[in-house]
Amino acid sequence: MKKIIIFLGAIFLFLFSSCNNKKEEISLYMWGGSNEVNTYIDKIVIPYIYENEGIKVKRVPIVDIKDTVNKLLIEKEAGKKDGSIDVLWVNGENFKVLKETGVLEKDILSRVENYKLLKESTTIRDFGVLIEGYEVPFGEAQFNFIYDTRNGDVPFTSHQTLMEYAKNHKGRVTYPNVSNFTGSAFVRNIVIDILGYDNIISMSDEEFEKNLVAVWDYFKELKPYLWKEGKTYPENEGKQDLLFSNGEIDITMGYTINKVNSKIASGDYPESSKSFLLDKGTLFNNHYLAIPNNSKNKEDALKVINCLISPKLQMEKQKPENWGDYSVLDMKKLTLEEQRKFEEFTKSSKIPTMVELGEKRVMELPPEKLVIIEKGWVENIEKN
Amino acid sequence: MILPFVIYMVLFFMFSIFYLLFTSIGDKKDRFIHYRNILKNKDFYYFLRYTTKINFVTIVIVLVITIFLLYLIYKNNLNRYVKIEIFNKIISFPILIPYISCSYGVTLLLLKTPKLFGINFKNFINDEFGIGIILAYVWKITPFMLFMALPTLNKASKKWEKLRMVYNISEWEYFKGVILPLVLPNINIGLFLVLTYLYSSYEVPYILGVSYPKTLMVWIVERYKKEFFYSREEIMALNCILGVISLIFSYIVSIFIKCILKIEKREW
Repeated sequence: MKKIIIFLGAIFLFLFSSCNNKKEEISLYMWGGSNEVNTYIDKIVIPYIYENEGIKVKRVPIVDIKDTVNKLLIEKEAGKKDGSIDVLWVNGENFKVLKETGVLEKDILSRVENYKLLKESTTIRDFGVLIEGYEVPFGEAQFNFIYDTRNGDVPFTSHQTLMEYAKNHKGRVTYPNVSNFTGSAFVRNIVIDILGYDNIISMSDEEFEKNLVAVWDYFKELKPYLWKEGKTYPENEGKQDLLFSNGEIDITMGYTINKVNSKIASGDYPESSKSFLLDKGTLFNNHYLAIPNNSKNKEDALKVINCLISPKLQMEKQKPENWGDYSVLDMKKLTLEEQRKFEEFTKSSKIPTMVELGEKRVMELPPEKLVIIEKGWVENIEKN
Repeated sequence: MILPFVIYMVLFFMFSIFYLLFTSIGDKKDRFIHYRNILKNKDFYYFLRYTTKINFVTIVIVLVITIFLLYLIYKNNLNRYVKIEIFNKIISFPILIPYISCSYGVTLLLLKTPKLFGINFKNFINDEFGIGIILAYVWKITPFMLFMALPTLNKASKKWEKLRMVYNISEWEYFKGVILPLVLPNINIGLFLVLTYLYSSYEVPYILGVSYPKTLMVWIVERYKKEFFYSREEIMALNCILGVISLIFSYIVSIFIKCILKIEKREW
């Protein structure tokens, strides 16, 4: 009898103690379509946070962040208080919807210790939408094109030279379908190159639609010279990359500045690949981290975000062999040693210099304009 | 024993169907507006025609190849040219490969295949006739159809082999007159399942199809991804319509094969 009591007592103590020590896992909802990003989170971020904060992070890969946005909207409608999402990777139109529907935790920016190290410019607007503390910047992206230097000089630097190149190299140029993020960014970039960023911003939506006629004429003229005569477009960036690495097309593109280095390192692109920008600039934006207001563990979620924007993890993120995504930290606010290390990652003959990146950038268009462009492309280009 | 299963089905499966139906109907102000909008949309009919064309060409090819392979298997059962285990492994391989991997596999294969007899295989990737899609479907579905028919074929070929010899019927005549009518009901069930699946298939036409026209399911998923939760009523209506269409077409094919079976029986 004594033995049984001791045994039961031991089990009780074991269960009780393990319950007390058990920390909730923090779920990090992220788009899971990039091997580089996934490996960075799994191999570097998760062990680092566990070692430094004792918090277990679980990466939840998702096909499209809209699914997560919808999940949060449904949870809000159902009045669910203990949601399953703790941190999510978001920006642009999706952030706008989440902010407007009131499903995000307020003032998280100022509650993250490392926020003092951030570039101030990254904390104000996301695709033209005021951030107001609802998100914390995570990375910086600039749209860039990639070509193989064995095929000659930089193929184009504007929409006019792109047209010339396509006409002289029939079937060797294409871009992803506009339903894809990268394809949409390419079309937006050409729209800005033709109409001018400042002009677009000053236009009403109706005026913008009228002015887009010139853009659609341009794309119609370009279409017969594209891969497969423009009868179809790669469904995503991955397919565009596949065609490029198989020598089917001359140009690929992406939103990560260090993409070319990462892809060369992984053996997907030839060593002679190099990235380039347009003279009038390519799209530039930031991507962010947010916390839903029904997260079960907001305090730990804040700690996770704090780690993600720490100099150590931002530096690891910027390494081309990891992810190659640019840092959101203000170099002037870092130690000299940290600054020196960051500078090393930007020294690459494969990517434009920091000065060029800074000069040749245009800001993202507001979500309303983006919707008009995408609808217009489907009606005028895809269907014709 | 059956209660947990019923509870599970009602809670998770039936609930979803009811939710889908009620969402698609719309609010009180204008019932069935989403259905009317879809039926007025020219793209819907264009995509339906494109989807149906691909699906029917696929099942006809699958049917022909399945019958041809069944005949080869039947001959192999009699003469043992190849070990059955090896044969089973070869045909079960495509079943294990997910559709998305199969699509990228077909893309890479077509990209890397050099020109043969003047045919440029690269042209089959994202071609407007859906040849790449049909190739991927045929590669995935034919083994499934074979597995549906194989148990009956194996049983029948062993059971009445001596009888065939007694009556001195050729292997082909015996296959056509006895084995085929026996396996056709299984093939019929298989085709019903396959056709309903093909209407809801997404990965293969998304990766191997063209941007326009697209299959109905690609259209639905693209719209689903683009639009937010509160504007999905029309997509739900589209899902319902697609479900009904796939069942109708599958039923028609099923009836058609049953008719053939009746004619065959009369001959027999």
